Amino acid sequence: MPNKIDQAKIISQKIKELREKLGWNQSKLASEAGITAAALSMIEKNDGRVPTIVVLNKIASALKVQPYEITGEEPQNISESSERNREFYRKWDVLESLSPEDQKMLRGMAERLKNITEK
Amino acid sequence: MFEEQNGAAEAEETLEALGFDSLPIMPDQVAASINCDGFKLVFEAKEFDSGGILGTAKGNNKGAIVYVNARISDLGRFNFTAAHELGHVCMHIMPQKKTSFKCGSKEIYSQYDDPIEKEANGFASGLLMPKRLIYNHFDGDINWLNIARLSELCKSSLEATYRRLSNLENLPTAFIIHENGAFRRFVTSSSFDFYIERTPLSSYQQDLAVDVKEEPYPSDFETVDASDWINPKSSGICLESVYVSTILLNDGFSYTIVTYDDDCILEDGAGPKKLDNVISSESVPRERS
Repeated sequence: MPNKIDQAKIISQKIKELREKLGWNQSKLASEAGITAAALSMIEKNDGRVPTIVVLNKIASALKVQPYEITGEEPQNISESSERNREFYRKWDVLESLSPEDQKMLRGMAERLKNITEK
Repeated sequence: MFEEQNGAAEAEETLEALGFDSLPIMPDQVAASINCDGFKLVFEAKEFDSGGILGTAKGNNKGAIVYVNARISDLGRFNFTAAHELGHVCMHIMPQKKTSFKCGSKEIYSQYDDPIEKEANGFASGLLMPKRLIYNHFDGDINWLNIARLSELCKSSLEATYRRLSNLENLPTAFIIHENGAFRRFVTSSSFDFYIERTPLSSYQQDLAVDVKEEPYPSDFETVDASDWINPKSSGICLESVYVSTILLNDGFSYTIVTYDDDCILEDGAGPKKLDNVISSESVPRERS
């Protein structure tokens, strides 16, 4: 994880690079992103401060990239199976709101499915 | 304290970049401005079944939903709750530190110890009352006239406005709430060193209250015995007097500001001791005539 000053530098360079690739000037990007031209100019000049996450999101959106492509941070490596697990737990959470009978039925189904898979 | 400052700084920087440059800052407009293709933000007022919940925020790094309890009738409190939830969105949900919040008055209005709630409160405070904009309307004196004027300009509650100003000015002040004369709660600035007496208002103290339904908000203070309001001894210093200003609001609530300076110290023959962080001579409250 780079320190704040290095991170600010990476962000500033990356934004400039992506903006120029699109052939946009600063005021075009600022207006597409919905931030002030002064704020964008400060970021590109690299005053050593890391922009807030809201501002990063807005700039990334305008440039049509993911925020991590600007910050240079590794994308959060969420594997497909861990994403499925998360999804499962998000739904499992809802179990509490079901009637006790339905909860029992779901648990029974899960148990039977597990047995089938193991065989 | 650190978390609150951190939260306020995040809000102020975000507001400035988004181009908000006049008061009041309305949280729904900020929410609309945060919303973009990469982060969808839904912000709605909704009547909650449970009266204890004031606001909720839930989401991930792609978007979030904020609900604020539509039953909060006071606009200042509604705005503060809304801004607090936006704080959770910007500081905790977007970076995925925590993704779901249900906030009641404990999280939002008490001096609650959870750093995440403190950050959201600091964010709310900085969002509704950005330093850059309020100092055009504030001369640095913490008194009811200034608090009421800023609270009106910022559409924030009197209490939230007091908290913001006391954090910015770092003067020794306390804000004490009574309801029909009975002690309810207090907040103090970090430099206020004395213990607040949790006692009902005496008839003398009630007489000093200015009824702001009928009279203008006062800018001046009364000099009274320190022991009427606080335990006057702390860290080897004894206060003889304090400055107080009490206002009487609707529904029997009264709010009091208590403050002190070097002149309030009881001399023990060795000459007055100097206090840290005392109010400057320019801002010494005047006695009411």
